[in-house]
Amino acid sequence: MVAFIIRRLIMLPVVLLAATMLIFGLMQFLSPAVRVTLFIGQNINMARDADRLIQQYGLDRPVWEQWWTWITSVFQGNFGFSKSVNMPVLDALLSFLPATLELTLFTVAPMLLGGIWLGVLAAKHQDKLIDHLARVFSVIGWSLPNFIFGLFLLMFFYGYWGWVSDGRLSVTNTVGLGGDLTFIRHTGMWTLDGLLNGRWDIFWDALKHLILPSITLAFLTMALIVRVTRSSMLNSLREDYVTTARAKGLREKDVINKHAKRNAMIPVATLAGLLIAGFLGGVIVTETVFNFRGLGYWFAQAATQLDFPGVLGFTVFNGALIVVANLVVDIMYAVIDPRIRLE
Amino acid sequence: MSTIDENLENFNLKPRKKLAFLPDSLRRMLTNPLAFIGLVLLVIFAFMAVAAPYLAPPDRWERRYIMPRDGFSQTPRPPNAEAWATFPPDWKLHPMGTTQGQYDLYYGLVWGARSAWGIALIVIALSLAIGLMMGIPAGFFGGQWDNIIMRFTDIMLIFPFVVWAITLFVIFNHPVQLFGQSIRMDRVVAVIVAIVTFNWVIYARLIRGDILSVKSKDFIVAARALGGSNWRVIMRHVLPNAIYPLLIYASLDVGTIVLNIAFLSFLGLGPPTGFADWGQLISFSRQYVIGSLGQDPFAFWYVIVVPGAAITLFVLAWNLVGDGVRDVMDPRLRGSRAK
Repeated sequence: MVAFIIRRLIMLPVVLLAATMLIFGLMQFLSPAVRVTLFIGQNINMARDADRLIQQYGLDRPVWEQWWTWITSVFQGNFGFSKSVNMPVLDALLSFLPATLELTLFTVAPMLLGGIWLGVLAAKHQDKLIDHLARVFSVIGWSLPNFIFGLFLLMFFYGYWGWVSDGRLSVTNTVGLGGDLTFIRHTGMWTLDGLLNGRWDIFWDALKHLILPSITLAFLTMALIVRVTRSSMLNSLREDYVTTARAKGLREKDVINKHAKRNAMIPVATLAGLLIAGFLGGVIVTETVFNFRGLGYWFAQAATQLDFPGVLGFTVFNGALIVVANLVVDIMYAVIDPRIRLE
Repeated sequence: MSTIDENLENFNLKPRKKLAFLPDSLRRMLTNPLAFIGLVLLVIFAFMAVAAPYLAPPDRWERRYIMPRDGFSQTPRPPNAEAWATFPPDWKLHPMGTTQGQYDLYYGLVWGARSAWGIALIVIALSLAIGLMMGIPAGFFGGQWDNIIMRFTDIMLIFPFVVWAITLFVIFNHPVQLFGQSIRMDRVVAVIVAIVTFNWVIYARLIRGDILSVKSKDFIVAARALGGSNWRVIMRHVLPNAIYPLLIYASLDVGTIVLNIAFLSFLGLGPPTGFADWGQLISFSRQYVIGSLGQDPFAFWYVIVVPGAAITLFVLAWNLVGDGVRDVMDPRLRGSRAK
């Protein structure tokens, strides 16, 4: 297994480099003039120098030379400048990551606990009322587009009841904390920072703003978890070892929890691993709808404002996360199911 | 010696009715209530798409996909019951109200259905064509080509659909250099090209896998032994036995594609402003829904409910039908009561 992990870890940078080459290659569809225009924007003085800028940045060189220039600067920690948020790409990544991390933390627990609970319950009472309810729930959750669901939540909780606004903090707190030097941002996650600084009002405010986006995410992904748990639970309940466990006279609770459920969790673990990696890589849809300034929000901004260094930086980070997540899921397989040998 | 049929007659038994695959599957689909609901919804949406010129006759045919505006006021107007006096309702009276910028919601709904189907079908047809061209040789001949294609698709599949759709659209929405020429694509074309550029990858992998599983079967070996050319073996023996899973997957892909286009359009990255598509109607609704103008959001419920319901029901219908098809295709799932 160690050999397997090492081999995969060696492959990781290769895959990532190939991914950057691919996106870099796609950008060659744009002529140097177009790319330099994206960089210049509305700046007329720079527009006069367009030809010189193309020369200076080597935009007319062959694609591999440009890629080499870019990748060597990346290894020096320079991902370029993201004009959509007006800061270097690396700073942008680091400043948007905590928001996404926070959202993920608050989504994963309800998603997994709720989804597995409902899925097991549905499988236990197959074709009873609770099963039908769970199936209706999962079909609805699976089909509701999350930007529409999010807008409906905003309509009730923000537009009508006025409980929370969009964004990560209410405006007064954002402005107030901006000039407050005693408030130290340890993690960048407002809920944790609020607790660490002993500011309950900040914690509460941040939590309120997290509720709607995490409900949106958790509700829609829970539907998937319920589906997978239910069907894999149904399969494992039909296995011989479950009959054996029952024949031994075990309590039904133990049969379900210790014998059937443990084996049914393998596909759920895969799905959960990939979902979490997806969250960490930025939940583009949900973050945009709620103006929740995380990685996905930044990517959407970068893309709409044609900020290519931003797009490239995001995709590199996103790809790295997903590749690592795949590796973790593979390893988790072996941990959950001792029959699996990683070669 | 009596034949089996005579024996059956002696025992007063009739041979069991032969189960034909297609009618049988269809019967199973129709008796599954959820799949039936899905099918009915799809028929309604298909009717809306086909009958759009009748349901909402455009003023100028060549601008039929551009939603007409009735004035330039920002504030939406509520649905008008009088417009429903006739069928089809007169969209000029705004049977479902107007949204921000006075785009008529009914017109957008009807022609949005047509554009959604149209774009999705074009995307699927193109992805199928490219996917088959790339995937068949990879699966059938294997070797270096297979390696190249599979490693390439591995890398493409690292990123999620939305990330690709956004990145590729942003690129193709500019003048692109192709074969030494500079081409400026229409925004709708750019959406299609962006999604096809990613989507064919999945199709190519599917057909490759199915071909691999068919390739080593005895009847393929026999066809080759009889001297069939590669082309003939592929077209007559391999493809007919390998293509159905892909065709089913592709036909169920409509919902996903429409949803992703709607989201792109919601971000302002899709078709041009005023183009009849549901995602854009949703993006028009945002500031009225969250009450950012200090008004009662429920007063403008229709700006989100009309397009929101359209997208949700469309995706729901495809998911229900997809579930039904999977139940029919996978005999293990048949009859959940079997224990």
